[in-house]
Amino acid sequence: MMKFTQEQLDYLASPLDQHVYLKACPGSGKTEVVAAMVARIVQGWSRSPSGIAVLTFSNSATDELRNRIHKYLGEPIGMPHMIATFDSFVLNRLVASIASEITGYTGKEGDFRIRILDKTADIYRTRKSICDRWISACKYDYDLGAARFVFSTGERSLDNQLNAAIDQETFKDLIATKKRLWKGGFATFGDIDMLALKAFKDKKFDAYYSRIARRFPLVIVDECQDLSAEQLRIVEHLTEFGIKFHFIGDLNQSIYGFRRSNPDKVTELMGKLKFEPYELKTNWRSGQDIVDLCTKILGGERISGNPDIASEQPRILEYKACPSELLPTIRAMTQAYTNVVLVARGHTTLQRLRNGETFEGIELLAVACIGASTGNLKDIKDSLRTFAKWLANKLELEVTKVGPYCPIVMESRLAWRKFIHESLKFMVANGAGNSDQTWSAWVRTAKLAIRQLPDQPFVPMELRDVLDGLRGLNLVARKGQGGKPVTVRVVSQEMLEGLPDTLRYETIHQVKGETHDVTVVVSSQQPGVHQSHWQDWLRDRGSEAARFAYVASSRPQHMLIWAVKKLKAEDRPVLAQLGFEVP
Amino acid sequence: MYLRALDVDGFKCFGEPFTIEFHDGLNVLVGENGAGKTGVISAIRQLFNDSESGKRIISERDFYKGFGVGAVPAESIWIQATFSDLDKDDVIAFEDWCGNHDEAKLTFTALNQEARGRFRHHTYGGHEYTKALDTETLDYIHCVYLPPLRDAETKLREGRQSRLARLLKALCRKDLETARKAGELHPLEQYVGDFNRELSESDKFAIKLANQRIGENLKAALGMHLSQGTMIQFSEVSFSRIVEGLRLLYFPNLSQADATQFRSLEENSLGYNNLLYIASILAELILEAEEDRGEETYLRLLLIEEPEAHLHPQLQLRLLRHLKTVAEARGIQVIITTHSTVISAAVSVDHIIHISNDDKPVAVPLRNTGLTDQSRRFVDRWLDVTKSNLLFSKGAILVEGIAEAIVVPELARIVLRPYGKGRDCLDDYGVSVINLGGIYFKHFMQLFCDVNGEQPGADMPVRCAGLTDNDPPKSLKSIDDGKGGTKAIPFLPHADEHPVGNNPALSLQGPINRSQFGRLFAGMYKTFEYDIAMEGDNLRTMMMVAAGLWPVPDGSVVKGLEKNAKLDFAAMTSAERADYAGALLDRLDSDEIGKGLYAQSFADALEVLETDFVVPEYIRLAILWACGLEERPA
Repeated sequence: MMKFTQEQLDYLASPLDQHVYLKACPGSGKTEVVAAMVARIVQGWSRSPSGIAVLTFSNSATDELRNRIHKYLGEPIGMPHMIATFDSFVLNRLVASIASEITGYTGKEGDFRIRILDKTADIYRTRKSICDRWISACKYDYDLGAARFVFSTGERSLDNQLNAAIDQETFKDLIATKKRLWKGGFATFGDIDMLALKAFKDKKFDAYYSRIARRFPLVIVDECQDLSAEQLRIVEHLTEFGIKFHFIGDLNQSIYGFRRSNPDKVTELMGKLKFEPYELKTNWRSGQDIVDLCTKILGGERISGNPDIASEQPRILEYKACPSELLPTIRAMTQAYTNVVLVARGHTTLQRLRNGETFEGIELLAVACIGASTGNLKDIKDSLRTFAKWLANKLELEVTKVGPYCPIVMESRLAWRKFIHESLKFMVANGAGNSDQTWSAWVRTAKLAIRQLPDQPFVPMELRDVLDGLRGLNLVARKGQGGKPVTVRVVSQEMLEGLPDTLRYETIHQVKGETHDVTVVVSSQQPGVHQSHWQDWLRDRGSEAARFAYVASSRPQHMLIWAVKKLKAEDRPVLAQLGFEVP
Repeated sequence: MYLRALDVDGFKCFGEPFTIEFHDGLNVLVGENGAGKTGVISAIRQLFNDSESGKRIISERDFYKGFGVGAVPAESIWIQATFSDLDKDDVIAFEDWCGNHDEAKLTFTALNQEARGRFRHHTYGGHEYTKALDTETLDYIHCVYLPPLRDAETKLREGRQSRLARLLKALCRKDLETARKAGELHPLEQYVGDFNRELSESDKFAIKLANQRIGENLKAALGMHLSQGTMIQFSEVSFSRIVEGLRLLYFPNLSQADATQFRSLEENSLGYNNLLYIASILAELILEAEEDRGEETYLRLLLIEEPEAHLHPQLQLRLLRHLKTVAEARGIQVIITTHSTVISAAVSVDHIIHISNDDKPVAVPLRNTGLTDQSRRFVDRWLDVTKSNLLFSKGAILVEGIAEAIVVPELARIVLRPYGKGRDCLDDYGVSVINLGGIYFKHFMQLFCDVNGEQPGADMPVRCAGLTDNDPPKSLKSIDDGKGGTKAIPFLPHADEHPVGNNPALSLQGPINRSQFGRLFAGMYKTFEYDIAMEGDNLRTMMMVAAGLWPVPDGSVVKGLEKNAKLDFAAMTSAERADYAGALLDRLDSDEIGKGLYAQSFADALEVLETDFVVPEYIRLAILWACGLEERPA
C-alpha cells in the first residue's frame, strides 16, 4: 500500500454528498487512490441496505479495481455495494427489470432476459431498402450527440452511403425496425442506453428510479472521460433522482470516440451540475522527459515527473516499408527491460508487426487450423476465436460477441466452445492443420473436411440445421497464391525460427492504464481516416488523434520510442521540437 | 416485509398451479395427511438458504407424478414467492426483486433433466427472469426450518455448529469483528488462554506431569528430530473452539439450584429438549431483530413442522402462544404445520390456513372464507379441541346437540351398510361429526360456503352437511281448560300435516344448498328423536331403550312402554304414530331420563340391533353428502 501525497489525501477527504471531479494525470496513482477511497467509504458505511456503485468501462478494469479494493479492505467488496462496468450497471440495474414494459417483449418460455446482439447479426431488417439493402436493426445505433442514426455494417463505404441517404421516411422505418428488434427481446449494447433514456422519459418509472437512487446514493465513475453522450444523459437523469457522482479520470485520455465518448460533453455536464474539482498533478510513472513530451502533444500546464526515474530522451526509429523490419533493432535496444510493449492504433498495423501481413477470408480458416495443430494453449484460444469468427461470417450466423461469436440459437456458450474445439480437432485430424503444403493442396484438404463437419456426432442439436450450409461449400485459394506454400503467409517468422517472442503487441486502447518499461508507439505508413499515423496525432492538439498519442506515449517508465515510416526532411524538426531524439 | 404468497407447480404433490396466501406473523397450516402441508414447507425451503437444516437439494421425487396409469413426472418445477408490505429499507434491499412493482418476487425453477446427478435449476429475483440472481440478496432473508422428527439432543450437544455456539457467535459478532480488526484476542479467548496456561504450568495438578510423561515417551520412541511437542488443555484457544465446547445443562424447575445439580440433556425429557431447542433458535432470531446485533436481515422466517411433537397439550398451548407473541412483537414470520387440534383450537381462525388435496391441492386461509366479524369471534370461541376436528377431516356433519353427535355415527353404519366392509362407517370416510351445541350453522358453515348469498369468500373444499330440526310451534290450537282459561294442545306433525317450522337456520337452506360443498338438511317433522321415531318400526327399538332407562323398573311407565313396543308401528298411519312419538319424546325430555343419556343408550342399542331400522331421509342424505357418496345435483 502506498503512502499518500497531499493532493491524494485531499481527494480522500472529499465530500460524499456532492458531485466531485478528480482530475488525474497519467501515472498519478489514480487507481490506487480510487481503491483507497472506496475502501474508506465502505469501512465507514452505515447506510445499508443502500450502498455505493463503482463503475468502470471494461471488465478488466473492474477486476483490477476489485482486486485493489480487496487489498485495502482485507475482504472482497460485497453487499450492499457493487462494482461493475457502466454498461452492465445500465443493463442490470436501470433497464433489465423494466425492459419488457418498455419494449413489449413477451418473453421466451418465461425468460425475459434481453439478448445482446453483435453487429454481425443480420435479423430484423428494414421494411424498405436503403441504398438497395435491407439493413438489420443490429447494424445501426442512434447517436444522441449528432441526433442521427449511425451505421456500422462492416463496410465503410456502405456506412457512408447510408449515413447520407436518410430521409424522413427512412428515418421512421429505422425506428420501427429497432422497435421490432426490441420487441423480439434483442438489443445492441448501444440500444440499452436508449432504452434507459426512454424509461427516464416515462413518469411511470419515477418511483422505480427513485428507489434505485436510494439503493445507490453515490456512484463513482472511474475513467469518466470515456462517458458517451448517452451515458452522460443517463447520469444527468440519475442526478435528478438524487444520486451524487464522483467522476474520476483524465479528459486528455479520452480515446473512445468510436463509442462516442466526448470530453467536451463531460466538461459541459460537470459545469452544469457544479462538480467540485480535485486534481492529481504528479506523474509518478515516468521520467521527466517523457512527461514533458506528453504535455507537448496536448499542450497545457507542466506536470512533474518522477524524479527517481532516470530521464531518458524519447527517440524515433524509422522503417522503410513494414514496421516489422524494426523488430530486431527493438529487441536489441530493449534487452535490459522485461516489459516491452509495441503499441499501435489499429489491429492492422499490429498484425503487420507480427507477421508482416494481415489475414482475411480463407487465410483465417488456415490460421485457425494451423494454430490449433501446434498444441500451444494460447494459440488454441486464438484459433477458437478465429475459427468461430470465420464460421459465423461464412454461415451468416446471428451471433453475440461473447462466447466467442456464439450463435444466439446456442443456450450454452460452453457447448459452443466445445463444438468449435471439436471441429478444429476434426479439421486438424483431416490434414487441415498441416502448413507444409501449397495453398491449392491445403484448400482441397480443408474443403473435404469442412463438408463432412455437419455429420459429425459432436455437432449439438441446435446447430444441425445451421451447419447444412457447409455441405456444398467451396473453398478456393487467393488469386495467384495456389502454387505457393501455406507457410509463406500464415506462419510467423518467430514460429519458424522457434523463438519465443519477448515483445507484447497491443492496441492503444488495450494499454490504457498500463505501465511499461519501454513503449514503442508504432505509426502506420500513411495518414488517413484511421488516425493511426503520427502526423494525424500532431495535427490538432484538441483532437482525439492527439489523445491517442498522449495515452500511448504516457505508458513507459523508462523509454519511449516512436516507430515511423522513413521521415522526409521537413518532418524531422517537427518531431525534434516535440522532444524526440531524431536519427 | 413478509412472505405474502407462494405459487407452486410441478413440485411434490402439486400437479397443477397451486397458490397459498400467508400473512404477517403466525400461520398455522392444517389439513388431513397428504394434503400438501409439508409440500408447502419444502417449497419455501427450496427458495431460501436455510440456516438450520442446510440447503435443500432437488431430487427426482420432487417432480410431481400423478397416480394415474402411465403417469409421467412433471417436466419442470416452478416455485414463486411474493413478498408484500416492504418498508423503506426493504424496498432498497430488494430493489432488483421489485422492478417497477411494489411487491418483491423470488422464483425457483428446475427442469427434469439430470446432469451429473443434479437437476438443472435456477433461481431469479424480480417479476420476470431478466438477469442472474444476486445471491447475496438471498442472505438478507433468514430462514430456519425445524423438521418434524427433530433430534433436539444432537442439535444442542456441544460440537461444530452447535446451537449454543451459533448463539454465542451471534451475540459476540461485533466484539469479534472489532478484535479481529485490531488483531487482538477476544476477552473470552484471553481468559481461557490464561486458564489453560495456569493449568498446564502449575505443579498442583497432574496435568503438567502427564504432559511431560507423554512427551518423554514420544521422544524416547521417535528421537529429537521426529518427535512432536504436546500440550494438554481444555480447548484450543479460538473463540469457535471454546464456544463449541460449551454444553447446555438443565435443572427441572426454576428454583435456586447449585451448578452441580444441573444435569446433562441426555437425562432430560424429549419434550423439554425440544422446547430448549426451539428456545435457542428463537433466542438467535430475536437477537437478530434487535438493533445492530447479528447479521443484516430483513425477513426472518421460522418454519416448524409439527411443533406438537413430544409435547403434552398444556405445553403445546404455551409454546404456540409464545410463538404467536414472538411473531407479532419481533417481526418474525412463523409458519407451522400441525395435526394437533390443541394447536388449531388455540389460535384464531385468522391464523389458520386449510390445505386439502382432493382432486387438486387447494389452500384456503380461513380469514378469506367470508366470515363476518361476529362469526369469526364466535368460531374462535367455539372452535375447541373437539370441534377443531373439522379442520382435519375429509367431510363434516355439523349437528345441533350432544344427542345427534352420539347417535349419527350409529345411524351412519346403517346407511352405509350396503357399501360393504371398510366403507361402512364415518371413520372409513374420514368424516367427523361436530356438535355445535345449538343452531350455529350460520357461523360454522360459512367456512365451507356462502351461507346467505351475501358473504362471498373462499370455501374450504371439504363437504359439510348440517343437520337441523324443523322445530314447528309446540302448539297450533288451544282448547278450554275447563277453568275459564285456555290450554294449548301439543302439535304433533305427521306425514299429512308438517308445516315448515320456526327454526331460523331453515332460511339458510337455499343459499347453502346451491353451494359446492355445503348442504343443510332439515328434519321434516319436529326434532331429531321425533323424526327418527316417525319412521317405520323405529318406535319399537326406541321405546325399549327408554324402558330400560326409566328409574323405576317395574312401574307403570315401563310396563306401558314395553306393551306399546309390541305394536306394529309400520302398519300404522303417520298420524297414528305421531301420538306415540310425541309421548316418547315427553318421556325422553323428562328429568327421569334426559336426552343425552338416552342418546348414549340408543346408540348402544343401534350398534347391536339386528332388525331393520329406517333412517330418516334427511339424515341419510346428510351422511351420504358428507361421505362424498351423493353426487351433486346437476
